[in-house]
Amino acid sequence: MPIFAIILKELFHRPWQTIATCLSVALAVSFVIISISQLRQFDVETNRIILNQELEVQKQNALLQDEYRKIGTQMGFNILILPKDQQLSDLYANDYASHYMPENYVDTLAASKIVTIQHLLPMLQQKAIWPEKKRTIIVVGTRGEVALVFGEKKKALQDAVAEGTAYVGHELSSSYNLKVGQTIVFMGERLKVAACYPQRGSKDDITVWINLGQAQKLFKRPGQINGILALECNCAMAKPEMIRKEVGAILPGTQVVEFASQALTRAESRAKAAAFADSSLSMIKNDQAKVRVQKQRLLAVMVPLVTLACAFFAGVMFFINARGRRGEFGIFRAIGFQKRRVALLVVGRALIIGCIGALTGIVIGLVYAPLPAPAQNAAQASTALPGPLLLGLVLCATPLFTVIVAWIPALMVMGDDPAIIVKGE
Amino acid sequence: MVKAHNIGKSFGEIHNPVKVLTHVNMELSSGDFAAVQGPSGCGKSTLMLILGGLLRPSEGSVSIDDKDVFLMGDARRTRFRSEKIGFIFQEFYLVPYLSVFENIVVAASAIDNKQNTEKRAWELINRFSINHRATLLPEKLSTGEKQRTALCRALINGPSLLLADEPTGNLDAENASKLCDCFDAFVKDGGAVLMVTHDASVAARASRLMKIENGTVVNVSNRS
Repeated sequence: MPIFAIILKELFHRPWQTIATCLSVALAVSFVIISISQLRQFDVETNRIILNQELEVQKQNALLQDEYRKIGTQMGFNILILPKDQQLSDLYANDYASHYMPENYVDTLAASKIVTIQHLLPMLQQKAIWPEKKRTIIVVGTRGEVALVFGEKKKALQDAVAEGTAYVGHELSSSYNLKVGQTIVFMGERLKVAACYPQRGSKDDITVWINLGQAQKLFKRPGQINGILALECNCAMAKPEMIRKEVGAILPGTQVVEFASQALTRAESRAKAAAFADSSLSMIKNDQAKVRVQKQRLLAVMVPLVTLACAFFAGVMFFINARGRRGEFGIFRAIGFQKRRVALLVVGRALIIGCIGALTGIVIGLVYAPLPAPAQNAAQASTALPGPLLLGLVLCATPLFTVIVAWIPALMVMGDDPAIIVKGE
Repeated sequence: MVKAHNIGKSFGEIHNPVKVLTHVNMELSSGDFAAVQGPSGCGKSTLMLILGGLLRPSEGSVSIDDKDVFLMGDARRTRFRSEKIGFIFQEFYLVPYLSVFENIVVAASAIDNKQNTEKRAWELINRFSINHRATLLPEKLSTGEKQRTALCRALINGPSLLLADEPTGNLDAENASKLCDCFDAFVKDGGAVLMVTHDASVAARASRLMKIENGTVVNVSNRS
């Protein structure tokens, strides 16, 4: 009669002992499965929160970038490249630069691979008396934007002014009731009004834009300009010091001035908000990591504790079973069962209980592990369940563990003297 | 067949041992049916267990078929015991979760004796008239049926010696008589029986009566 059959018959003969021992093993296994699942579920949930947060931050950043670009564009040029020897105090006092540089500087800059600035606008700017009207105005000679050879083609912020035409600021056009198409005379030159700008609330309102060549001729500055306006690139590396470094390398005889403005401040504050969002994300990550460590520590205590408690209970059950069957083992020995064969009755029983307990525990664990998850994350919770490798490991390790637990009762059985047992002493 | 030479057995502390058996000599041959009698605690059961190789004597030797039982290792002695000796106890010691049939064949599986095991088991079951109980668990059997099952188990491996410790202690007179008939049949087939009993009527069925008092054989009487 096979040992396995004897063990099975005994298991069915004492169903409550069998069920109680199997359940203690199943409890330990299901606790391990649920604990692992909980940790993995927490990780999945954390990843989901962080991913959502990252997407939100990315979206917000993209919006901010776009807004910053729009603000920058509406604000117009915010970089002014001046001759190196230009005193800024003079510039601010006179509203124009008193030093000059070659016009071809702008072509040199456009032909370079500069990345920190865009929209290059060479100009010759003068504060002058409009002799025909006897009033002081600002005259800007410009040839329009010079496209960067290696840059992306962009829509011009400032249109080119054709020769013989003028763009007039709001204060001037309203003072003299000027309309597009009318002709004005400036320093003896007849200029057709090509555009009247709306009010800007700045010096632009008393400015007349004319063709650069004409301006050079009028102010006797052929081939010269006194400034290049540009727009700071909307990229991470476009800091004033970087722009100065890059421009300085291409045009050593120049200096760079960045305009400050409310819009810039606003853009900066928005950039700070984006940085804050990034740091919030880091805080969420850190908080989640801390919670995970706490959970992990708790489970690192609870899992061995529950496992040991269940192992102790199973061990006691094995001991009670072996002790209650001493007469039976004694007669087995008397009729010829070897010691190891009698021990096998105990150990084999533990092995089968370990297998049944492990299977039951895995089923209970897999059923109950996803339950604490919110209903909307049920699909995620199921993906957090332990994989087949881990389940296989649990399925193999559990019977091994129960065999180890049953070892002492097995040794006790092996050590029993069958003579004493059959004598009933 | 069985020779016990100068057997002594003590239990308890080394300096103050309780002597249960002293200088017991006996011989049992094929066809012998011996009964051992004596007051409680005189060492009858101890002698039986020593003769069965289950209990090592403190002194002396036991040989069965000219082989010293206690010179063998534990594993060899266990196998030797299951091949040569059948045990019957007052309490039957049937395995509670095995059926009558399984209780019998399990003794054969103990020594991997698979040859015609089932056939021999059924022969014994039929011979001792428990075939209608073959599939039942021991708890469903009468005491007589339990003892007959124990007897079948003792005989399944074809032993040459039967050791019975108060085998009729729980049986009525009719069942006790039937059991003794079985012993007679076993002896006629060339086996030997050593039976420890308090029952004088059962002891009277034996061909030899040994009386033990204070751990030693005081009288041996042979009957024709």
